[in-house]
Amino acid sequence: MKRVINFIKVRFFLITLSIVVIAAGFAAVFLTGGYTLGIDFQAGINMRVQVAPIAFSLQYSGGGTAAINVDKTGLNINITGTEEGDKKFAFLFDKYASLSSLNSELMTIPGITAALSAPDQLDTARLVGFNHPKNLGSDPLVINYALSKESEMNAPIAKLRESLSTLGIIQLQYVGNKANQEYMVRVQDSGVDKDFNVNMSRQVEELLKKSFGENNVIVKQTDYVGPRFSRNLTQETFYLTGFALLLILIYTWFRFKFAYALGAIVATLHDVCIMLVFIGIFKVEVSTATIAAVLTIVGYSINDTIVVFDRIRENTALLRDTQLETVINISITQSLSRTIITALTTLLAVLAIFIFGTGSIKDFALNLIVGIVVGTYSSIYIASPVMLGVTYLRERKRKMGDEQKPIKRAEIEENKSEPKVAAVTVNRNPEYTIIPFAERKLTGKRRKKRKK
Amino acid sequence: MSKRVRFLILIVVLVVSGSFLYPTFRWYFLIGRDDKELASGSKQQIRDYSQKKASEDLNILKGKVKSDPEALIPENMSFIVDTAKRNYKLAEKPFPVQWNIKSVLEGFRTEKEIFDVIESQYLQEILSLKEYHDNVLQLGLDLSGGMNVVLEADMKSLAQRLGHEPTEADKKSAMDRAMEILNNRIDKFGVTEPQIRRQGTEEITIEIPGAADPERVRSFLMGKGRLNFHIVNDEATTKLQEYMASNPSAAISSGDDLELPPGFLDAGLAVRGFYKKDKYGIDQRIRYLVITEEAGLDGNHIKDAQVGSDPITGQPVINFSLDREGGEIFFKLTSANVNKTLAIVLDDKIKAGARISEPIRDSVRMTGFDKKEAGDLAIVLRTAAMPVDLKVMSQQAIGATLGEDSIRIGLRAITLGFLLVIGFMLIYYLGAGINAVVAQILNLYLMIAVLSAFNLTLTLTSIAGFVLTIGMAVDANVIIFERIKEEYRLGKSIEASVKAGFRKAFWTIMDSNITTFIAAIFLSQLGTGPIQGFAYTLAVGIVTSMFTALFVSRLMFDFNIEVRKIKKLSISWRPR
Repeated sequence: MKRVINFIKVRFFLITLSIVVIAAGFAAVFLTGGYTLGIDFQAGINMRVQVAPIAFSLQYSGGGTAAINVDKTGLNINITGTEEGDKKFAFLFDKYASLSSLNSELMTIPGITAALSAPDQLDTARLVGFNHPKNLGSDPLVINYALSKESEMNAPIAKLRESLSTLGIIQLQYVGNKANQEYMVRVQDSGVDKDFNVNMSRQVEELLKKSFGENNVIVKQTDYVGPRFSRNLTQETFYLTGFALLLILIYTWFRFKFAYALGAIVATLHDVCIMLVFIGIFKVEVSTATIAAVLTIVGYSINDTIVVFDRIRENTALLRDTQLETVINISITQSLSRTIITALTTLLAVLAIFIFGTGSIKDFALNLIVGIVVGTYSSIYIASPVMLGVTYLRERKRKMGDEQKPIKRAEIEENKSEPKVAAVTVNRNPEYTIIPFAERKLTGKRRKKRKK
Repeated sequence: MSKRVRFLILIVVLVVSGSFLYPTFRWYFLIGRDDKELASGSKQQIRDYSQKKASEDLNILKGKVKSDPEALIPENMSFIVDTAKRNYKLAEKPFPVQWNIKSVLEGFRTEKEIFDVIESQYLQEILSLKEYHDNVLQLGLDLSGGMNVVLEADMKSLAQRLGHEPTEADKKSAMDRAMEILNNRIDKFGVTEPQIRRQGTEEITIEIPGAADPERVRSFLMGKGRLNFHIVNDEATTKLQEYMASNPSAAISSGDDLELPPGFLDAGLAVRGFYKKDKYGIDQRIRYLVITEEAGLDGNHIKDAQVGSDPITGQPVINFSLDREGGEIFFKLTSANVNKTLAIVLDDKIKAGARISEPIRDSVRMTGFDKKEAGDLAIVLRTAAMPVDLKVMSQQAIGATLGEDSIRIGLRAITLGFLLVIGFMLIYYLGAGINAVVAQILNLYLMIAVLSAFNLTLTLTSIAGFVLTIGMAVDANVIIFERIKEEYRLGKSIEASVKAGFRKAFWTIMDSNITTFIAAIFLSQLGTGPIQGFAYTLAVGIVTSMFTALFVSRLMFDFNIEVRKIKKLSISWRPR
């Protein structure tokens, strides 16, 4: 036989504490500038960049201007403004398949000097050139080529992430074939800088050039894009969670009683609020993972609370002459080992994710840890006291309704939807209550069976 | 239920889930990378590939029949033996003594026949791979990337539709509308968790999880989706055909803009190609028809469109109803043109023609599309036409939005977490812990199987659903074991304790799971994107975890008690 722990005794203190924490927490969140919305919810710039080694460089020393244009099909050079008139040279990659053949042909153009830096046999289809046409001059202009083997890569995505780490939260994805080293860089626009678009793209380009070499970074495209998920998603989550809680309220009302249902919902809301306070105060980035974490905790907290309530319901039927407070204490004590073991195992899993995970997976785990701890706490110290309070309030209201009539057991029995705790056994010292054991009374068929 | 029946049920469940899981397993572990790429290639690529392979194989056969006619058909081409046998039978020729290259090839009349057989075999292989791909658990954009498509709005088409140069406000509203329609369509085509956003002012970026399959993009863009009805001018068509017969060079010039001598057609008439799909689903022009240039009826008048099938031919039929105004126009049009041909024109291609036998008012049946096309078209018709033409600017594979390292590390951490839970259960509950562990592993297996069957896209939020489910599954086991322990400590027999433990835990588990299940179902129906992914995973997980905790774990206890006849209940370090 176990000793019953008096969980209920501290209820007023803890409920007040929770209210204060939540109220002060939200105030602090909004005073410190609200939530940090993650990159998925913000507009920003999308840059397509490629890190590509140099294939060859070109110089032009003749008269007039020489413009070069490289596209997917070939390399074109137009020389204009010379005395001999305009000249056009077109080299289709189909025809000049290897770099050396292209190079030797280029050298025949008067005034052009080409210096190879890539292997002779390089497939010219791999040449990349952007923001062309460009004018050739005495300064060498480089033409790059895309890598095609993963083993040759010199700028894997992790290296890019490292070199851009000073920019704060960015998103990096490879585009197309991994080995081409073409990436999409996404930086969120916090709305402070008016010329964000221009400044940020310059900054990204400079950082990349610093890490991978002045001539090895090609910025292919820069666009201003809207957010990946609209902010409505967060609102939608709130509304849907609210409605889901309402449905849960109805189910628990139906399966238990109104007081239980309210207790469960209040406890769940409490957990969500504390999580939101935590996320706001510690400025954890709000991403889709945060939404997932909040939803997860709603599920966890409800689950946790219902298990305790189920025990209370079972015990109220068994211990009819015991005060509700005592029944609650007994029930929480009985299910305590389960509550703790479940919380521990789940925490074990989530802690592993938190300790070893990175990025948004780590944030997700952190949110869950807070949620699980709070969820476990609330199912013990918030849900049952609220349930108790609501039961007492309804009791008092009912008593006031028919003050004259003393409550009789029989009446309560008949009217099952009413609380059964009215028969009061005075138990001044609940701390030393011993859990009474009572076998559930068999009813109906099973009783008949037993008699036989 | 007897143990045997329960065991049988368990086996059935395991086998069925196995069959759900098999495509996913095969796709990720058995199918080569090249094949996967091919399966997500465009129809054109598939055709080129099949034809190239078929002609290679044919050349091998032709070479062999000269050098070594007695040799057997190579293993990978054994399927042509079956066709050869059938041909022998049809021609009532006696079967040869041996099915060697020579005798097999004699089963075909022309080289083309052999080529066709081999080509269809390759095509079938790819198509079945493609089908496979639709039954596979996909990884979302955040975990494994997908395809990035940039669409550009053609503002000229907007100007044409508006009748004046579009203002900034016009452009913006057209773009907003286009985004909305795209969202709508992609949803209806069953692409899970796509992301659509504005890029610059005149571009839209779509990101779709999974392999870069251009067909999928095409399917929801569905060209411009402009459907019109025109009357075919029979006389001019005959004249055109005569002209083409005498000028074969004109027919060869490809493209829809057939070059005709000026004044050949009367004003108000236009030439359009009539297209049928070949076996790859690529439009092939069969002939040219001359139609009235002005549409007899604009597709915008279509109110609702449903796909059915013709009761006699079994061909797909699109039934649609017109709004009142459209009905009037259509009635007038068909009354005036009885016995003429009505051409159904989709994006300037004639897709079908039908003779008008009587005036029709508002309910129309349309045939001439294959099943998929009919389905896609019905969706396009229902979701309204794009306000502005969208062009595909680029289409490229992209990596995961979460860093790859972070995913790899994250997955490792999740596995570690799972192992820790298992370890804890074994240490804390000893023998009974084994039940819990088996239940957990089965739960994961069943979950992944069911989710594969739903063709769900797994994202970080779905993984959150997994984590919660694992927590709840452990919880169910803990509730049961703690109950059994309580009963056992009261001095009951093993059998009675287990029985009472399960009985008392049953409603606790049910209640707590049903409450969460209600929320999960609700969120899965109304939520979008990540919320939905989470809710689906959770809903499935709740069902499977209840099954494993209440059914499988119970079966294991009963087996231990009744068959192994254990004397001591191994559930705690201090049993009594």
